[in-house]
Amino acid sequence: MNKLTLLSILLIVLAFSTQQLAARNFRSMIKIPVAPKSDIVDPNIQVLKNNTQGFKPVDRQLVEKGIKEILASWNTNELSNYLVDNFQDKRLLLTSINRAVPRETKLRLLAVQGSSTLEQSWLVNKKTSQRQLKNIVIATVELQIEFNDPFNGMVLLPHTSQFYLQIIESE
Amino acid sequence: MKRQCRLKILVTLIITILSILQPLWAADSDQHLSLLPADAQIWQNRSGIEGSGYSEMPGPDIAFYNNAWSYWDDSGRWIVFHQGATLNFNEVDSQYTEALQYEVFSGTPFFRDGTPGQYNLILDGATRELITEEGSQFNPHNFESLIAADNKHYYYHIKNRTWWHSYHYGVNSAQPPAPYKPNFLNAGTVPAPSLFGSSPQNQLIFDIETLRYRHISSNVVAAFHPDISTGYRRWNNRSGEQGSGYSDYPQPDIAYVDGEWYQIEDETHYAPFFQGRYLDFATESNITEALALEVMRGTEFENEGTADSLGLKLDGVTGQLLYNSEDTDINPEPVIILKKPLVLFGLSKTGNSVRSSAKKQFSAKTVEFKLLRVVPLRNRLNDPFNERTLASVIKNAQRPRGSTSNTFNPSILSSGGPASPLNCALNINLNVLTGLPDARPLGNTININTSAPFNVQLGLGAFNSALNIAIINQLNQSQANITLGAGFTLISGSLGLKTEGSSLTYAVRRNADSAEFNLNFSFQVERVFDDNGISIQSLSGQLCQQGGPA
Repeated sequence: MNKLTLLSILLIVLAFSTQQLAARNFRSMIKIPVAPKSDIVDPNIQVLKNNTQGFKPVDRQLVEKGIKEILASWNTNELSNYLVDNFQDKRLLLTSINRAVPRETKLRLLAVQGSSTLEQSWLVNKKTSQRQLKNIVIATVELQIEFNDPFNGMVLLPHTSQFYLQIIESE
Repeated sequence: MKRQCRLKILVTLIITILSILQPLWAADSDQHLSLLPADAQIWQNRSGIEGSGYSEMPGPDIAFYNNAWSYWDDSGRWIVFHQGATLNFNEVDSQYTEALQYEVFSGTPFFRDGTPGQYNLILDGATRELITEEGSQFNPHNFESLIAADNKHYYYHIKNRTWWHSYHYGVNSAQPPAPYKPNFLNAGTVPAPSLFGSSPQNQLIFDIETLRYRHISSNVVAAFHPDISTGYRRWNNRSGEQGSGYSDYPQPDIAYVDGEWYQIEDETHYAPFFQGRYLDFATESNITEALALEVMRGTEFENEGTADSLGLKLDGVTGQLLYNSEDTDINPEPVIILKKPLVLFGLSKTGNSVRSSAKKQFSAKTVEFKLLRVVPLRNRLNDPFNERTLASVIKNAQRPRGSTSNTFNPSILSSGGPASPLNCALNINLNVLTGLPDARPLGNTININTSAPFNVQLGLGAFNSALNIAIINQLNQSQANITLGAGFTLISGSLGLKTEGSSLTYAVRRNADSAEFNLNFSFQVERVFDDNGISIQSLSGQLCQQGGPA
């Protein structure tokens, strides 16, 4: 009798848990894009406040300059400096580029379709009193991977992404 | 007996007390009105009403009459809650005055920073004015709320020209906080839009409703003009204008400000020529000849002569013509003019932005870029920042294929040229080696606002060819100049000015190795914002003859 009771309880629990799992399988989660956490590791840097009063979007030319720098560093040792420490799978990406991508492969910027400044805040270096304006910018970037393959000739692999950039202007 | 006596005394006492209290009740009930007298002052609770600035604020409407303060009760009567000519917000139950305090500051710069009770202000029932603890009048409408370079709020008293720190009520200073700085203007001048600099973002506009100068770009108050609220009028010389009825009169426009008549030399400088409220046309006829005609337009004397010949005078205050004490109305146009020297407290030329949160202007010397995240949108597999897909994509692209084919990027360039010419023996399709310079505003649009040639390179491995395309006339929105790059010889096809949309076919020879190519393309001239650009519509090429040793 006791065993039967225990068994029935177990079955009920199991039925509920499988129902929950099935329900989960039917749902797909789509993340709402938000500005990722920025990358300020210097303990001397103090965040003063969000710049809401005098908010000024980052100049498009500056955004393009940054994107060009980052793309130029791709497939070089410099790329590590342009990726924040908490960039998704940063180490694996650098290793993968190093191993799988032919040496002469370049990332060509085709177009920056648009950019907008998401956040802006003032920082100050407590030691030097140097002020910094930190911007988080989102930009839609058209680019293509290019390399010359001995068998297939010029290989062009187009791609479009949204770049979340951290642009820190220092005085 | 004794008991009866006591009872009588008690009844008498009660009657006496009631008789004493009865007039008071009567008087009190008189004050509980359902209809207010005409001279009553009323403050409505406008909670939630557009323009009030406050919402969900409980509390009744408040009225002042008969030296008493009342609130509107649900029973439909005004109930007195405070006696006296003034109301001290801090001494009265807040259930009556909570909404009233918001209403008193509504529309003033102080609304943002608290209630009048927090400033220990007292409300005068008869005049509706606020009074300070010291007994002086306080008009919150005389202030302008401003944000200075230290990112703090200041109140600028427009009439006293003093600055109050928002956190230190009543503590004022004549010294403006940065970036506001005084600019001195002489009498007879008008503050020009370029007063604070020549760049457009420094220019000012004058808001006639609020009598404020504001920055065009940011709408931040840039300057203040306390002396122009009354007494200025302007009459324009409409000589030669349609409907004016007169022409060929070279006299200037005329303005009147506070007992002084000015001829307007230009929009920023006014020269006085006559003193007094009433302008006598005969006295200054050389200046006022056009004015004497202008003021007659639309009047009953219009066809009887000029104001000068009829002996009329013009009243600068009312804008009316005076003739035997009969006034004729003229429609004046207001003008902004400085009667007295004026100090404008505007944003300084260098600090025209209130963006800076620190004391001095921020000027970036170095910029650091970091990539935080990449979210793929199109051609997701080709994401160069995704370690999970990158290796396989590269590997797949390196896999040998059966034959060479065009690898036009469909999102940028499209193939679709006509069949290769008959004389192209090999007819080997070429790949696009380079087609687009970096960072063009549109994907396949080139040569934006420049006459530098654009080099199309097609090729099969190292066998590349070149054709230069350049815009020669940016005003012409339908043509481009086609030139052949150095090192090539034209075999067939027509170079030079070509109209957009045509299918252009060229046979060219590379001088170095005599390799021959066919190139076919079409283009369109597009306007990107206000610049011309070339958009490649189709592009294809064939290798027709292998080159020999160079």
